[in-house]
Amino acid sequence: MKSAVLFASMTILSVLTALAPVPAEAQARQEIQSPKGMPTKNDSSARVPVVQLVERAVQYDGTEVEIEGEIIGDLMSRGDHAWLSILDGGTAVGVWATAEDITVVSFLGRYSTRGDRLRVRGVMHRACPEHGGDLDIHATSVEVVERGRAEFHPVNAGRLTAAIMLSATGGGLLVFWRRRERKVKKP
Amino acid sequence: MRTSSKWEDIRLILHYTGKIIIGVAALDLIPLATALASGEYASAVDFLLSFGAALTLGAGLSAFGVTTRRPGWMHGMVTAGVSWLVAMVVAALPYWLSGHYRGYLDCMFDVMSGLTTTGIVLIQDLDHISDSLNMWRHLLTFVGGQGIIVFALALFADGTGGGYGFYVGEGKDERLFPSVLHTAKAIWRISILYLVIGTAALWIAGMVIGLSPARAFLHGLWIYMAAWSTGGFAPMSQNILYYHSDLFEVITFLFFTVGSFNFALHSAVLRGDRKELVRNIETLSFGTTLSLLTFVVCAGLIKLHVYPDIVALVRKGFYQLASAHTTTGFMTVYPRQFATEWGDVAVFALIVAMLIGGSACSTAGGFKGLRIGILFKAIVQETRQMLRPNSAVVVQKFRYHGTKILSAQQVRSAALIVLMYVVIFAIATLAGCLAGYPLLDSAFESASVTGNVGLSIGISNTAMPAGLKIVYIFNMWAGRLEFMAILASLGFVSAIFKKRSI
Repeated sequence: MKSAVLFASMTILSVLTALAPVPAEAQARQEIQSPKGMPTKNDSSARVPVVQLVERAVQYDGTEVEIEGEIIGDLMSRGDHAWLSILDGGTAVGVWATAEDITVVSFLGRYSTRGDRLRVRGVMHRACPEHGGDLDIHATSVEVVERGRAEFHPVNAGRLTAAIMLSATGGGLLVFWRRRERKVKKP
Repeated sequence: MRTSSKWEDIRLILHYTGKIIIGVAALDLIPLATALASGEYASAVDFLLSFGAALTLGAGLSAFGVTTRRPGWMHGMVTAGVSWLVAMVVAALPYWLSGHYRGYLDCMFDVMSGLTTTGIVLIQDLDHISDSLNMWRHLLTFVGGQGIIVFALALFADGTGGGYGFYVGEGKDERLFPSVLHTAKAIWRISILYLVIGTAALWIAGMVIGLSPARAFLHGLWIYMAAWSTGGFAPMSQNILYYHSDLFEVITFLFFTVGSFNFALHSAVLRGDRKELVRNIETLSFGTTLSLLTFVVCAGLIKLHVYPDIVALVRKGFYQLASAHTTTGFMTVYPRQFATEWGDVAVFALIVAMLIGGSACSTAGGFKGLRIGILFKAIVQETRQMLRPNSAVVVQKFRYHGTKILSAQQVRSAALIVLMYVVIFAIATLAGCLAGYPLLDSAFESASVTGNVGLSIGISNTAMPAGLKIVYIFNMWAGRLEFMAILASLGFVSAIFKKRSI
């Protein structure tokens, strides 16, 4: 009986999801999957959103592309090259660049910094044979479009007050509980 | 028990739920310390506020429900079901305060994903979150892997009682020691031992691949937590692909595989019984299904020429499969690559792997290798029985911490749990289709949430319908607790309406 109620509830919830409109992202994905405007090998590069590179990786494989976005995380040096990550529209992609190319970088995007906005040209690999099948871009040029900056996160005075009051209340209740428990459980 | 009032039952359940929420409050102190050490003062205030809120609620519930009664089996089961939901709501507060979510439902989705060691996320701009919030995310998945009730049992050694129902309600039924309390502490000792080894290994690997020592330590700690708990969270949005490192992939593979093994197996091996590792029905089942599915995945990928060589095939095909089978969810490909490049055969193999999952009494999800092994043995037994005279009695044995004789009760129990997994998997798949996603994509995402895996084919994002988010939250919760606590909670609610005690 309980199982029947459980599964009936789940089925009703499933049906309710059908009433929701198809998400905008699903519609956008269908548009991306349309074949028009696909690049061909050796196309001269035009700026491509990273999300589109991933979605149409098969078509962009081996072509020269240009991406633009914020450099995030870390510069991971590997000999005379380094890995960097470019974030564009919520999707990040790994870029394999020479140590010389990355000297232009000043700010890496993290919690306390907005990273430099870079324009990267390079060859896109859907499954890079040099890097164990990673989807990546081997950069031929890296330039800074916009310098990054420090990000400040000021303390919210209202939240601080609430935090102190709640912690004090919680502490008081904790003491009250322990005392009450000792009193009730006392033989 | 039958003679007690329902009001007393509610008080008892709220009392123990309160203790578990105090445990959640105690966890808030770790990211709070991280925030202070990293100079993230705004974030520190958020965690202090979350700590205060959780402590107030937890202590309030505990004080309200103080009683001399001892918890019974059903109280433990209902508390397990209820406390996971309350913990989800409470632990979502730091997420909401961070400003990285589009609504509280998304925050709760990510908490349930973390606690159940699923690993799918709806967070926005993950690459810019604070160290303290990353600590919170990975801490939730680490503690959730061991079990928040196991954590509370270990924390309140003198006060939680010894209710076996608490422990079983959280999807664990293997006692490493006669006492549940000692078992809870043993689970934590094993996890902490591996925490030290795993973090050190990944810290060194992080420095080798070009991270600064401080970043390598934090990333190593977080990735270890997510690997051991088979959680699949990572501090960067590209997940494990971010590191572009075979070394990182090998180390994470080792730890998430070990993490998917039964705690009783760890305990046996640590006590020197290494034979159990190769004779146990779960490890045999895992080895068999992993081998078969590796063949299927590779066949699918080779047929479509997805990867250029054997190295790429192993680093992409085998790694994602192992991640799926252990219900970890670490990824070195983009979610959409499954849909656009991998083809139906390989994706089908991943769905099967995600549903089978890891070992019972581990941090992993899914049907569990034990149940697959038991059902296989039952098929063998039935076949042997058919080939013998009616009067013959066929005894089927299997190795599971000692030699056991297969019983009808074990087969029935395994079949029922597997059936319930399949039903909720089918319902979530249907929900995905109704929301406008293709069948294979819906089945993939459904298997991932039901098996607490975390691989995604791209459905799970903040734009998906709220109803689908709720279905996925339910599947993560039900899959993690293995139904008993949920059925008990429903029974309890029903008992309240029928005005009888449990």
